[in-house]
Amino acid sequence: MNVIVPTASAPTREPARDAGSKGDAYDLKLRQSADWPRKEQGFTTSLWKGLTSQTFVFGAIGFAVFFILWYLLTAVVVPPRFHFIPNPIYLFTQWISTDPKFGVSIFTPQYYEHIWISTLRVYAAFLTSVAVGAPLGILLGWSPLARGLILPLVELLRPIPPLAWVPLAVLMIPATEGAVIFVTLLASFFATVLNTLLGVLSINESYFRAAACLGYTRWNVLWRVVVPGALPFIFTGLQIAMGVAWFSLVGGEMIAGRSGLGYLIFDAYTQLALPNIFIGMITLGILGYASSALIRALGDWLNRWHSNMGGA
Amino acid sequence: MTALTQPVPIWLSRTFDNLKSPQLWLGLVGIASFFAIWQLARSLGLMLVMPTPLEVIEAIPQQVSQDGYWLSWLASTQRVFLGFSAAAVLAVFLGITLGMSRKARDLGFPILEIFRPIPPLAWLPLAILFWPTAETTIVFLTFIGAFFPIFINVLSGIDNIDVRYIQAAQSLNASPRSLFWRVLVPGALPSLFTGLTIAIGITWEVVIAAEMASGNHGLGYLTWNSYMSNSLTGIIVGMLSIGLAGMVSSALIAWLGKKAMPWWRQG
Repeated sequence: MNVIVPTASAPTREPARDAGSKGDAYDLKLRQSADWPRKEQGFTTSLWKGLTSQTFVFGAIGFAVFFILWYLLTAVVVPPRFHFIPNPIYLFTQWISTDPKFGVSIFTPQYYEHIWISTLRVYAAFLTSVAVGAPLGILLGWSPLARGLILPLVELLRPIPPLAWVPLAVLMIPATEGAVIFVTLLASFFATVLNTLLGVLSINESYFRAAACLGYTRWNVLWRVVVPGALPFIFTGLQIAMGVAWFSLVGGEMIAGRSGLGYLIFDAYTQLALPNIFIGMITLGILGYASSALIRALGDWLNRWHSNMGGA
Repeated sequence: MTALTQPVPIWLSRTFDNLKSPQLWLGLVGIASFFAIWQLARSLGLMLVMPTPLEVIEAIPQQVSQDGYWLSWLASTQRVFLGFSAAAVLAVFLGITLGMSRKARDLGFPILEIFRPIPPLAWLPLAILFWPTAETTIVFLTFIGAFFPIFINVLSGIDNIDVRYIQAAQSLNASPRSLFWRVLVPGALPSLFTGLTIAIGITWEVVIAAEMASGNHGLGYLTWNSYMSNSLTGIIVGMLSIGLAGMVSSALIAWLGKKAMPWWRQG
């Protein structure tokens, strides 16, 4: 993205200085408004521009410094307690090894079993909380009566962090599977409800009036005003919900679980399988990031109309 | 004089006004019916492992007076406070540095971005191994939990300052120092406080989980201990204490926010 902007704005100035060729400047402007310079630039040029841009070069330097420091501190000069951190090269070779020392690498089925179970739990909890939380949030936002009745209760229960529910959930829900999912669900549920509520409350009052003038039924108001109006906020909520779902999942799996990535990390700790701790952490980071990106992409796609209409 | 013209003190008349509002009564009805359903479910023989609300209330004095209850409060609060303030200081510093300098941002932001998606609790095993004492381990985790929300919010707060404010200040010949104190800081404060509010919630959650998993005194450990001794009232009292602690901390942040930005109206 950065690549195009400077090349698109730079040539405009040069013909403009040239008093005789006003038509050329106009042509150039026209071509740029139609996004033509993008086509004029070859792939290699843009690649080269991207690779030499400050963002890329500095980012690469940052990464290099980080990994060199990591390597130096864990392989060359090892200060006390740093021996618990494997050096990056060893870690990477373990991760992609066909015969890892501690049984977890990208070629072992256990790795994918843990990933699969954790992902399944997160999405089960997330989808349930969206299915229940978004309609509840809309109801709370739309009906003052429901808001008055239910919101104080939600506010009363919300300060208790989801992970504080773990002991109760383990006792109340017979299967550990259920307990872990419940804790994950709880976290994303509150984020979804409250953001949806905020979204409905943020809708401009005049939209409701316009809808009333046009003789919308309540059902139409719901689907044409409330839901689309609250959608940007709902997706903010969903992104937060996805983040806290992964967060709580890890906690739940560590404290109560018998499988999953959180359990993998904690189990690796009890067995001092250092690379597995890191593999688990990195994998969790990637999965969490990918899930958020997925929600964001979905939100952008559903909210296309919003930016097209020039709204905030 | 005001006391004479005003027949009742302001706080009292405000309380009366609140008592008249239907919102308050609706809320009370909602909360009361929650407890009524809980009680009723027990009477109907559902959820037999759960104690009734009355049993929980009866158990509160006994739970609160047990050894180490207040010490648990102290221990958890101390950890939250240490981790949170360390994270706040570093995150604000880094946020401002990266927000103001393009080079610093290009250099440091990608690295921080790869750490951000890792859930704070995933650091727990590594932290237990790396840090010499359980205390430093938990404080480190709260630090990790609080750092990223504050950092990201400071950064986006600076990014979102209206460019016209900066231009206006520059055309009024503002020195870099006053540009910083009069434009950047007030512009980024609301976002900073959003970050702090999110962070304090995460910090409590992390503390609780870390205490449960690593078994060192504190409110999380208290709750976990009640679980181990199969005392459900103990678990619920523990949960309520944690909720209360979180609520008080958030209220404190909100109060600080109001003091720091009197011009800011939320929502």
